[in-house]
Amino acid sequence: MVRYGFVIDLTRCISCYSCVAACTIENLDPSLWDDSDKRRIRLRGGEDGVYPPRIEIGEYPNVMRIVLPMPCFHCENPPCVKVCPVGATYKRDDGVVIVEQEKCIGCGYCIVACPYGSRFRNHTTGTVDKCNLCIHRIEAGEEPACVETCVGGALHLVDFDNPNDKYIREAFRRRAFKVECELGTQPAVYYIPSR
Amino acid sequence: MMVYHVPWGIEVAIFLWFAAMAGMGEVIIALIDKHDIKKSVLKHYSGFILIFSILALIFILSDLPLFIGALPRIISAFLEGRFNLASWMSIGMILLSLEILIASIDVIKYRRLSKWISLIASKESFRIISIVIGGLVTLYSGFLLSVSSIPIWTISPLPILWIFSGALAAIALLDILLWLSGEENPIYFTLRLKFSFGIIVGIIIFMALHISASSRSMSAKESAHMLLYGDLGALFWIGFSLLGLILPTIVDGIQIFSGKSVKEMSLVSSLLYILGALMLRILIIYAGVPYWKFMVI
Repeated sequence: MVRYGFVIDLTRCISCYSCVAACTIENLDPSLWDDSDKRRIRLRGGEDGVYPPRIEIGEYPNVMRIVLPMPCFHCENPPCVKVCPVGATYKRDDGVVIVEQEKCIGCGYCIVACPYGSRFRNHTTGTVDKCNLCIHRIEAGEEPACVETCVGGALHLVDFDNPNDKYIREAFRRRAFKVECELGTQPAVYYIPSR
Repeated sequence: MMVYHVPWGIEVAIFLWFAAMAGMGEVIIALIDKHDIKKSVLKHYSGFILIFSILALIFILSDLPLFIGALPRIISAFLEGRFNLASWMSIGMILLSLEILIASIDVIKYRRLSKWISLIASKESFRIISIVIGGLVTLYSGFLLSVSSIPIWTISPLPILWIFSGALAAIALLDILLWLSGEENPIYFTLRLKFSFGIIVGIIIFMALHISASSRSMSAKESAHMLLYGDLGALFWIGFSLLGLILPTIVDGIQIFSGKSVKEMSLVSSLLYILGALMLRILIIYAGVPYWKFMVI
């Protein structure tokens, strides 16, 4: 059994947005490319070119501001799945949370329920869109577009059921953190802190 | 005006307004059915409730980019056993459909369009079902927001606020119809109810904003700040608080304590309450700040 997720090494992320560009070109209709609200992966904290970024990490005096590459967290306990009225979004056995486009009615309830802002309305299809971990590429033996294109080698696709995965071991060694919230979502994305 | 982009907009606020008036209107019509109220008033009131129920459904559907195209997908979800009865969205679809059905029966009854349907509608059990469904429709509109990741929409007094604010608007509509029908001196009925419910709505709003402003969530605090002295402040204080709540409550209070009801004053206060209920919903929707805007790691 596999359980996919990401390990993102923030020491290697240079905020170049190449993951965002690669994902958008790979997955979205060209009519959406100009709309920065419609993205399957985002760089949170650095929206609109704001500098320094808004997300604070650490405790005084060791505080710094970071940009956080945020794909869908493919949570263990995804609040978006519970609220879908027609069962169009669900968690697969391999841990990937997907939206079946032909079943989605576009009500947007999952967008409202997701605490991480990982979903958006795709107005070309009239349905809800989100990161599906480029499952079509994984099934073809390739890496997700964002991972493949990452300039600094910060993004890594991992299998959390494989304890020997070198990036998982690295994540634990370097005290990686998750963006957990009070909902107990248990995200499947770990961040290796900048320092 | 700076507001955070939440996925739901004005069409959802209007839906919540119609749903609240339809739901609480249904409760009121079931409660006053046996009272000595002109049948012409109930005939028109039941018509309004049916229209509001249908409009609520249209406005929630209008939020779907697929609009009517969503219907076959909902039906196939039913047939394939995927329809999620644990989702408030699904519960709402069922409740609104039932509400339209009940409101239609009421219209048939008060307009005497069918003898046997009127017979069913006259039964005590139908009144109880009407009260339950009407109350649930209004409550559901509060719970619909409660599972969101937008902290101000999840504060506990919201469903109760929706109930009382919906009831206030529904009573105000009844008051307007009573006055327009030439009913004399409704001061001991609708006027007192409006005044009491106006005060209750004010108290719940105070509670809701206090909870939001003193919350640990930065997003909830930001929402309360936006409403109290932020970009939505003018709309909140002048549009809702003053015109939609305080002024009509004072107008009603003057009439009650002077023991004299004035048609024009009562009509204005009722209209302001109804518009205030809409303004309240618009403000709550637009004051939403998603959790991820203030992520703390």
